[in-house]
Amino acid sequence: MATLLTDPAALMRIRSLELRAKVVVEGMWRGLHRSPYHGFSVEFSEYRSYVQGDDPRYIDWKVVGRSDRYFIKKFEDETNLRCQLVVDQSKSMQFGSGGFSKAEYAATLAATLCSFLMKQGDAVGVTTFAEGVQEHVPARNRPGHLRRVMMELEKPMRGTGTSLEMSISQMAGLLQKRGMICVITDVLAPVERLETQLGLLGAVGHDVVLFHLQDRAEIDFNFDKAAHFRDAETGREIFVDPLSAKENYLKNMSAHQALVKNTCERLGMEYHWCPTDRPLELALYEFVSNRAKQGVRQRGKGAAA
Amino acid sequence: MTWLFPLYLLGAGAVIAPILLHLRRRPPQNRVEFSSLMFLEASERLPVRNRRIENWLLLALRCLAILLLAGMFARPWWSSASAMPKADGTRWIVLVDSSASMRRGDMWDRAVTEAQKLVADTEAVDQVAVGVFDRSVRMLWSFDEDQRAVGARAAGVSQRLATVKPGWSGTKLGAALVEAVSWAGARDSLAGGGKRSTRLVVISDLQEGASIEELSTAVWPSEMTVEFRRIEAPDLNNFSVQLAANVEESTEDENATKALPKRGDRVRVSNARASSVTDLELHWQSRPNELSQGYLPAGTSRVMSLATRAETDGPGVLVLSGDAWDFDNRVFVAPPQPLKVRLVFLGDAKSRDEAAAPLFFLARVLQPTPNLTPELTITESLDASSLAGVQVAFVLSSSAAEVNAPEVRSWIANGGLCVWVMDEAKNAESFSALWPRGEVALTEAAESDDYRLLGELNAQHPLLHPFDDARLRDLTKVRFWHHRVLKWAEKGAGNEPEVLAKFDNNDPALVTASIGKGTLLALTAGWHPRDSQLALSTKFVPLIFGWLEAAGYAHQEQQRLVVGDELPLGKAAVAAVLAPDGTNVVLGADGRVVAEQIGFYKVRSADGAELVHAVNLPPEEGRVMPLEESRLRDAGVPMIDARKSEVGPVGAEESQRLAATEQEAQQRVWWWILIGLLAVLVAETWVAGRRTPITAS
Repeated sequence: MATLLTDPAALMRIRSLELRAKVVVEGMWRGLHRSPYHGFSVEFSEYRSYVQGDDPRYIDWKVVGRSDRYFIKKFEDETNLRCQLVVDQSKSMQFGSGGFSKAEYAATLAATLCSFLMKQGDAVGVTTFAEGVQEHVPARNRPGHLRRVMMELEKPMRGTGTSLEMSISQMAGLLQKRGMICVITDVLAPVERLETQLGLLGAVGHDVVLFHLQDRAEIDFNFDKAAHFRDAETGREIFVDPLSAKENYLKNMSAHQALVKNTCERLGMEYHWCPTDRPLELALYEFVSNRAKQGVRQRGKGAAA
Repeated sequence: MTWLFPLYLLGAGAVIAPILLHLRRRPPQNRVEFSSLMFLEASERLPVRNRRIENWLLLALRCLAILLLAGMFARPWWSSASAMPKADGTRWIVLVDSSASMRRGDMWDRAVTEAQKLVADTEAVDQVAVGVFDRSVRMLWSFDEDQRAVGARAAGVSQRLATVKPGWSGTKLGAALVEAVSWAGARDSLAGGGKRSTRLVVISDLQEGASIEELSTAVWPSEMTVEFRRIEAPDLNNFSVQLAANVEESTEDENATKALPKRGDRVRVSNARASSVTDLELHWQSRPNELSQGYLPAGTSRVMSLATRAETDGPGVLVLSGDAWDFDNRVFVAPPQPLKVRLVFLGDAKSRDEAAAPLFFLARVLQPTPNLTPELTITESLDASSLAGVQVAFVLSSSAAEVNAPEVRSWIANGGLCVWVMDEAKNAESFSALWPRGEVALTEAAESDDYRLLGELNAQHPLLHPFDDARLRDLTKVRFWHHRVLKWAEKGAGNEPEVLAKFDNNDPALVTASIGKGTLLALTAGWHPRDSQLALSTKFVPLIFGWLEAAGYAHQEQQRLVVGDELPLGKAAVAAVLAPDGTNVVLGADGRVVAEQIGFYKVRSADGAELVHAVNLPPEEGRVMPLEESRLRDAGVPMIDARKSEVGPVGAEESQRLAATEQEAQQRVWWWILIGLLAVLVAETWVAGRRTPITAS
């Protein structure tokens, strides 16, 4: 399977975002050919007691015949999934060491998800943010919408700083219907305030998936010469000798990552760690398989209820 | 391996510079854009002890380059036994100046002391030769003597030097050096072995007047070095005086001509450049009260006229005073001593006042000059009695009947000059008796309206010496109306006659023949107006005086003699030569006498006549300013600095150093080091260029 994976650096050389997404999605289809998690359909979710005012169409008559009780049959709303891709376009996303930036990776990942989900018939929208929400394309599923989403993702970046919590609070107002929210960001912001905002989204009923992007240079900090390091967002400069600062950096960074992951788990959000040198297929596969597991789990929960 | 200039090795300490530079971590100037600084902390600068050396290869190359550079300047060389100075010591040639200028003060004593000290300091393995020089070199202590008596070297040299006093000669430094080189060369060829290092030490006042022209042709052996030890004069306040050219008679005014004859009354006085005296006085020694005073700034010279001196004063000594040194303050002027030449004329004494007679012209030509006093006697018969004490005889063929041919012939053979003037074609038999080829035919030339000119003239012959001057050789105005034709047998015994001049019709005009020590001269035409214009022309006086000069009686001024010149002894037999100090000078093997002192030499001839010659100091010797050593250096003298070199151990060290320099120059190790250095620099450049700068990925 490894041979079928596309190197991100090679992928990023494809200019068209749409084509990139197609390469990844088709690659994954090919890879998942024999996957046991094939397909999604209208799935039974749970029964509940009929109350006055319920639509009599959903009363399970077979149960009425067997037990003379009125139950309403509930189905999962998967076919009508509304997915909002939230892409970070702050200055820090422009950093990249492998020949492409995190922003490009993020755009490709978003395009891949979009392409994949729309192929399933889901409605997909995209929201870009930096200090605040910059562009917002509501989730839809109709011909031509994919192109619009792609165009939005291909727009040049304008943002400077990152203010994820502000963007999320703005977004909460924009998203009327419940759905899935895929946040693609490098999470270079304090986690504490982020937690409340993300918790808010979860409370509203959104299913939040966090893609945590990290460049290889950020992960390993493989610099070997002392230099003045400049913050991409604030412009602040400090003198750093990588030889002495590396250890501390790695410690801080992994602590931050762990904190982000814990927070997501605590809030019941799905967390994906995506180094940008990792093939996109894997990220997509992980996402898909995670969704499938979650579906099974939820079905199991429903059955137990 | 040893080093010629080991001090340069200190330069190797400069390797600390690249090491420090490599240790120094430049504050990074590069900037790295990073996504966020939230996990980073500013780093401290590295403390010195934690600094690490980067780029070891580059550092090594740079250090190597500096070490090579220092090594190259230190000039390494490998000493080998053969290269070291030989143990057979140095060859010393010591030349001490004994010229007249060394008479100043105690300069000679100091020179002798210096030489003695130098000789005493030499090693037993050295070889020493000592000589003195002025215009020539005299060896006092030769290498052979030195080899025989090494132990007595110092004593022997001192003893020899004690016998020498400075003379009155000029300084021929160049010739002396060339001569000394030949001593060393002769020694080398005798020894046959390798050449020793030779040191020529010249102890002299090195005056400006020393002659060094001979150095231009000198070839200096490579092993020879020359050291000049200057004996400094206490001061340079020196006037020098020499005779200036006499005033031409034509410039003298009438009154002066009438006054007593003036001799040597113009002198050139010079003052040394470094002199501090300016006032001088001149006077004749015989007249101390008649002072001529003058003012002469340093470095200048002027001609001064002196009070006239009577001829009766005898030899004159001009004394200059006013300066510190008197060795060159006297000028000796010999009194006028005209030569007496006795001539006899065979003819009619009455014709002396007849304007058409040959005697009329001859008697008027033979006027006394300052240097020649002709005494003409007229005789009616020519024989041994009338020829006694006579140097030149004139015979007219018209009156030649009274010639006693055998006596005249023997007189000629003893050195007489007989001039036979053929004014008429008569008495050919008398002439034939003298003529070496016997019978001659004498006829009148054919009468013609035309005149004859002299066609060919052998001006190189001593008898026609005055006409050697091109200005006098124009004889086209001397016309001959009548002449005789002289013919003689082409072959026969006796000397072959020589035709000195011919008429333009090829008849001989002037014929000479040698008889014994004397000469017979035949003139085929008279000089009187009946025969020719010769007596009336300007050529007659030079012609007659030319004959007198050929007979040994020149009327030119006496030669001015300086020390070293040969005394003109003349033709007369010399009985004795008295030097100025009164001693009798022994004639040399070749019968010549060279003047060694200043003053008056008296030459007594066998006939009792005494001739006084004034001998003066060579004028150049009075130039006592120090000779610039650069002139000697320019002349190619391999000089070494006298102040730096000392005899003895220091001298040995010096020679060792010279040998080391030579050895190093042969090995040229520094050349290879230079090549290595360049290679290292190329490698350093390549390595430094190849090293890619480490930047953030």
